[in-house]
Amino acid sequence: MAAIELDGVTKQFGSLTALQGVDLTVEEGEIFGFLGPNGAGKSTTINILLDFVRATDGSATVLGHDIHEEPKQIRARTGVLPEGYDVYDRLTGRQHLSFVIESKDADADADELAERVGIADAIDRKAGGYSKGMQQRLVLAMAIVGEPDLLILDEPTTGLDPNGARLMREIIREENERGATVFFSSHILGQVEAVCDTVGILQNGRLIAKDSVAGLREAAAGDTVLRVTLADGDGTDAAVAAIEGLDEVSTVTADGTTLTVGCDSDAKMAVLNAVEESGGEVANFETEEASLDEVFAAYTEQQEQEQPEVDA
Amino acid sequence: MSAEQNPVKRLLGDIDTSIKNSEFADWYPISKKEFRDTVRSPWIWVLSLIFIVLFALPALLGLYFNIGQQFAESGASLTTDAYVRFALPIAAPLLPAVAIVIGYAAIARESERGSLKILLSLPYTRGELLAGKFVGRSAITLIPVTVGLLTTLLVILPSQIEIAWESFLLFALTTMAYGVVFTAFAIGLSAALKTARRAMAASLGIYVYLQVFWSNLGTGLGNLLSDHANIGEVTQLHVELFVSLLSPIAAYRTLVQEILQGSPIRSRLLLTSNPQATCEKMLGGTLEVTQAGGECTSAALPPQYGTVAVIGYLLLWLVVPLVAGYYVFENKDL
Repeated sequence: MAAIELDGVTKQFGSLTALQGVDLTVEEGEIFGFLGPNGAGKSTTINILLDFVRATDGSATVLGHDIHEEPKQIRARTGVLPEGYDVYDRLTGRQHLSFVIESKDADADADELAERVGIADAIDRKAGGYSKGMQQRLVLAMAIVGEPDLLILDEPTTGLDPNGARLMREIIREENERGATVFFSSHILGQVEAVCDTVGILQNGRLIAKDSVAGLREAAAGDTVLRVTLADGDGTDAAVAAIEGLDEVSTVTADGTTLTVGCDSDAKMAVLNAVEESGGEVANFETEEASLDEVFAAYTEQQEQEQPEVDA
Repeated sequence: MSAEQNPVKRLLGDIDTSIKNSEFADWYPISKKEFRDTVRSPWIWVLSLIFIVLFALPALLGLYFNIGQQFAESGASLTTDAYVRFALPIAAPLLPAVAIVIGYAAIARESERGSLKILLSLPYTRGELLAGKFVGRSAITLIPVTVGLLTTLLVILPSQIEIAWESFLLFALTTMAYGVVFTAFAIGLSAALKTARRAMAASLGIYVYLQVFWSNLGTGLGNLLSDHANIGEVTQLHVELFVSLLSPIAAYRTLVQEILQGSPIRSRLLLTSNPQATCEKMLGGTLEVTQAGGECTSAALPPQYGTVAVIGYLLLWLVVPLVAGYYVFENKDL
């Protein structure tokens, strides 16, 4: 049985289409990264899974339960870290955790949970006085109460410092090893790469790709941007011609003495060599990591080229 | 101090456990959370304090300045009924305001701030959420009412004022119900509307309308129908009384009057613009003016104006907003 199954889910807010026929399967035991730029429809998808928002069309099940018919059964076995939440300022961390433990009828210990997310010394303070990062840790602790079968984390590293982000990844791995399926959304490629088995990319309300992390990385590799500044402008044309001649290069544009080259990430030396051979002198060069949008672009392009080989 | 050594704590613990284990109380942890959270809001304490002071004030005045003396002179012995007479015009307009402030933010505020997502990530249906909110916030409303009544009793006990237990307890019960009704009313609007600001504006707006204009509505509607629809005088009187009773404020007032006067007819007549016509033409009685006020003798009160019916009208203001609020809340995108 799949942990999450979406079948043609469409959501319209008035005339705006937030999701267009999304089909998605998340297998049990997977760590699934739900990747997409802000506004792609990630939160809408999660809101639909949790029955906060009702789909205009299509259907979905979570842990085998229909999302609209049996939301309570789903939530009993799911831990959620929502996006844009707020804690109860006037209640302590312990009161938050006790409330969740009681709500889920779980056999859990508030102190242990607080210890696990690193807020043990603040557990009896009011959550209103917590920093954003501590609130995030508290809500994470609330999400893992009662060993849920599924964890749904919406942009979980927002507001966390590097230590917090590392802790988040650790807990995601631990929970997964315990047997939980983890579904988390992010607009940052690096976070998804670090922990996920499988990645789905959502763009403009469509699931444009679902692949392993390795597959995604391969696609992303095609789009490193190299910026080369020449010592003088005389050799620009010759350098552009030389670079264009390389197989690994997809685009070259010149602006004064600056050349912007789109190429494979391992083609940097070849580009620089070509410039030198054309008689140009490299004054400076820098590489830019491919942005997520560029990865999407590269990935969709590659999918289109390889269309016959891809099984739908 | 351990729970076992403290019988009160143990009893509370037992009640807590048995509610928790009850099949129909899935909403219980929400009401507990709601109570804990709301009880820490300073605004509610300020309002409650004002309410308690105003509520107990008549008792204090009666004791120290003997304001109730006029009742004693008129032949009636001075009892807590005199206190209730003073407290009624204070509680009737003030308690709804307190209850609205306690209830209006219940769901709309959480929805605005996003904490509703945390709540609904837990195993609750939206209906259970609403039930939990209602119970938790109603308990908050009962705090100022209970403390106000207890303060009054404490002030009155050592004085020469006699405690009329039956009417005092009935008054306490009716007032509590009145507070809970307006809490539910505000929570229903909070569930239906998008922002807490709108929920507050709507509930206070309706409250002000009920308080200021509703009493004229029945009379106005009666006159209008009489002028344009040729209804008879008796029908006009019926319209006036019936419409008046549909206001929860009027319903509460007339119920408390009934407790004091011991007569539903006399209490209903207080709501009409023309008690004599109402008594004689509508109820078929005779109005006799006595020392204690108008007495409508040998009249029969139709069941729609009876005690049970009026309690029903009051409770409509609890049921309708909650059900309507639930319906809207259940079907909306958060």
